[in-house]
Amino acid sequence: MGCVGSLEEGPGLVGARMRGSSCVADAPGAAPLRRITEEQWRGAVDDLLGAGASEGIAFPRAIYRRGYRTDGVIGEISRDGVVALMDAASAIAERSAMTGFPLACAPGPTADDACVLGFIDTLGARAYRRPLRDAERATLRALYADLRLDSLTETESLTGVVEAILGAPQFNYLTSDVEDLQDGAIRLDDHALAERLSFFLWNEPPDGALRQAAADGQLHTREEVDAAARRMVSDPRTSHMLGGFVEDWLELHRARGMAKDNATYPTWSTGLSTSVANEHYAFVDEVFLRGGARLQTLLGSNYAVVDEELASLYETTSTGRASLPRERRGLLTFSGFLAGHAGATESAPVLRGVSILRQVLCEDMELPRGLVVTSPPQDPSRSTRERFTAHRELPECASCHDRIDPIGFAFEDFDAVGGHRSVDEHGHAVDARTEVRNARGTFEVSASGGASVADALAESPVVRTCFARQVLNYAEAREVGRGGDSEMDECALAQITAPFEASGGDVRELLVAIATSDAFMTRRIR
Amino acid sequence: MTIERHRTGAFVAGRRAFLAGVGGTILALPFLESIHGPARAAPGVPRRFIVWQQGQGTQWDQWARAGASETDFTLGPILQPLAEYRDRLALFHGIDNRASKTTDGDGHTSAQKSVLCASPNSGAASIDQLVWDRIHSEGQRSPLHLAVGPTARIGRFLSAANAPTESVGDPRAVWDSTFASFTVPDDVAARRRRRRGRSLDGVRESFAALRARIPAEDRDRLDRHAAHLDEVETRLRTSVVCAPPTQPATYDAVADWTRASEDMFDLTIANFACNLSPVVTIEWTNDHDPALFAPYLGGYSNWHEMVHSGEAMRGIVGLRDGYRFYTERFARLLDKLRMTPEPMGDGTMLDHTLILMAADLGYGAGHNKNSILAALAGTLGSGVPMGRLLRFADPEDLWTESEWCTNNLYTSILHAFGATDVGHVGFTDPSVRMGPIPRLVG
Repeated sequence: MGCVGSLEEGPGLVGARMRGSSCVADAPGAAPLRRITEEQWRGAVDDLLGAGASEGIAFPRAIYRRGYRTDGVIGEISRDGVVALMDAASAIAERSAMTGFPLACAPGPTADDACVLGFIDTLGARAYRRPLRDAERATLRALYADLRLDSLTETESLTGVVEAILGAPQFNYLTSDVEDLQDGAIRLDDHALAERLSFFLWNEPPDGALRQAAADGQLHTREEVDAAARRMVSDPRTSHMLGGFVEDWLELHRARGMAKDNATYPTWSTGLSTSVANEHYAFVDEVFLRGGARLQTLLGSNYAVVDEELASLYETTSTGRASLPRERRGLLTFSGFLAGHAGATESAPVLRGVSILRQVLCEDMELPRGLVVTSPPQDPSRSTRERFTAHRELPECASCHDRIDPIGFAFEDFDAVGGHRSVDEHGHAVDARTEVRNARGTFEVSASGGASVADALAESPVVRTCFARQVLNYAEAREVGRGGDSEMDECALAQITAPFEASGGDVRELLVAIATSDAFMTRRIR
Repeated sequence: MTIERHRTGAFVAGRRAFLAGVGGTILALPFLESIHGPARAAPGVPRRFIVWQQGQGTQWDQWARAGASETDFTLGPILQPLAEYRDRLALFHGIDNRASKTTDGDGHTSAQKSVLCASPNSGAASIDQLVWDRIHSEGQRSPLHLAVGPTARIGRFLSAANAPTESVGDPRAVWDSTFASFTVPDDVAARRRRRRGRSLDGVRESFAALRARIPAEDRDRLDRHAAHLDEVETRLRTSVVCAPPTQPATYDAVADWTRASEDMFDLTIANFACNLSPVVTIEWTNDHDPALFAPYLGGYSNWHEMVHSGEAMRGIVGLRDGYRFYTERFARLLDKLRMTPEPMGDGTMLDHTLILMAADLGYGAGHNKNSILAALAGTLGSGVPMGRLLRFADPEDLWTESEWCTNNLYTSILHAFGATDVGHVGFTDPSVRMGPIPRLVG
């Protein structure tokens, strides 16, 4: 299994075709122009002007598409978003002027002072993450001269230049240059690859080593990129990026600040909901940095990383890295997923089922047109499961709910805040037995309880392939395989899945495989 | 070294128009921290204060009726002109002017010399001055005291104990002293606006430079981002605009209240926009027998006499119409504040201004100083709910004292402006509770 052909020796950049489960030729990605995310923007601002430079400055609210904030940046920025971005640029530049710009010399009074011009060139290149082009340099220098001639001081004028740099698309977008177009695809140059790598793996602009490699022209071949990526994935910044990915992938942000019915769940507090909303970062760090970094562990671990409130909810005997009771295994049995996919007063088996099918098994889960989403009416005489089972008697519901509900029902042993239970909110015994089968019949399990389903998912090759697709979606900020060229995307997917499989599900290998894939290193042009 | 401007494409189209705005007589003062003093450090605090002082109390059954809860109130015919602003009002039943009881003079004088300073016999600075002390910044002038009616020093507004200020009733005189020699200053805010405007042009050029290098399929999205820069420019240009108003015409301002108040409102707005003073007072200085109210009088010989008769004849239509005239003008002031945009588009001037509406008296017919007419409009700060009628006493009960006085209301106002270190305003007396009104500000 794997792709035949490569960037260096292939017949051309375009034309990948699947042959059986393999593909021939290369599979450049379709990653279009995209804006950096809030986290990346803060990283870039702080890198440019010093730690804390972006602190407390509002950034346009993130847009989630299909759950991913990275996808959101593909979309068009709104008018208010642009205003907020420019206001942020102004506020940051002014604050930086007050604390002092990182100047290496004292600016002189003239509009073409050598110290100032040198500073503008250096800052511009760092901000744009590559050497300035002539037109860009001319714009920034002329702006400084205009401001000086308009009787603004050196500091005010430099503030204006910094503001313009922070507002420029070269700072705010990841782009690809048509000058690198060849045979219908753009081979990203060293600088573009450096910024893709660092924003993908670290949510930050390139560090000194990456910048140097790019400047020396040593970030171009697959081997060079492979070496750079391997250095980066062992860093905690990659683990933090992965924590953010997991949050989006399993829609854990839903749990952040979520309200629960006080009478039913008196233990749910601001403190607990905050712990729940942040738990996955500590857990991913543990698995990724110290626990072998395997997907199986993320989904099937017998431990969690808990504070006192979570320890109480999970019934562990200690805090920190703590062993879990048998009925709890991995991320899908943590409160972030379970409480986020639940109502205020009761569990929500349909939400849990849909989320797992769509995000973990990569099943198509579009809402039918015109569907009105409702919960079955409250009825204390029946269990949650009994109430939800009723809708499957209707043929128009059953076609989807026959797939959705069995997975959701397996997690009925967890209440709306993620506490384990044997009776539901109305005192009915919980029935968490289930027979799960996905649409293609590639995943089947007969189990009882969320932990058993989580265990099965953790071991499934279907889930590994799906995970690879999801991480590629995240890295590429798009839905791989959608729209035209889906065959080429499937080929790219095969290219990255193979080493992931071969490593036994090591997520670090997956990240390196993505970074060195055709899809990541090249951009096809329609 | 030669500096060459690099200009391409349509992205710089807005540049000339923008610079024309800067070079002209219009100047924006967009930036709050340069406008406002130390109390403004807290975000969401009101930025300006207006005290509106009208004559002769009100007729409570026509003013507003309390409902089952403080948000469930009904505006009566007198306040009906404010229907559109119902959710931006805080009305009170039961704010007493306790200090008037130990103030010398007749029923009117004793009220005037205590109503805004919450102390007997003009014994302290009035609330406008106290707020100004806390929110002005260096270089700003003292409160702008305007009158509708004759210029007068009645004694309601005090810059310090026993130091009454003069309210000026001639709009031309106000203009002369405020804007005649006004030049557009090259202050921090003006320079900042120039910087931002030019910087925006630099960003436009950067868009043009990048556009040429990216794949055609990406250009649409980049273009739409660039097009939205026009909005940034518009906001820079239309943010609180300091445009000195044209000099008011010569006319009988004392007689023509409608026209005079209109001019005074414009001067108020221009004063705020030009950052001259953060506090304005508007005092209706003839509340005894205004000629303007003649059509309302019916068989009464003057307005004051009719007010006195109100107790026996609640249904007097002319009385209600007279009181409603004030409300109509007040609504007009709110309209003008609402139509003036704030810097950087964060709402309108009304969103960031607190207006105190007060009168010397409560129930006009009784010339009562228990439960005086008191209302707030605009904002008490972000997150502080408006749209309330706080009822502490029955205002038609002339003899029972309320638990709360002007002292407490003014303390709350100072707290709204961020001066939460102020424990109490005005005189202290066993009959006056200390501190702010609970649940009004926070």
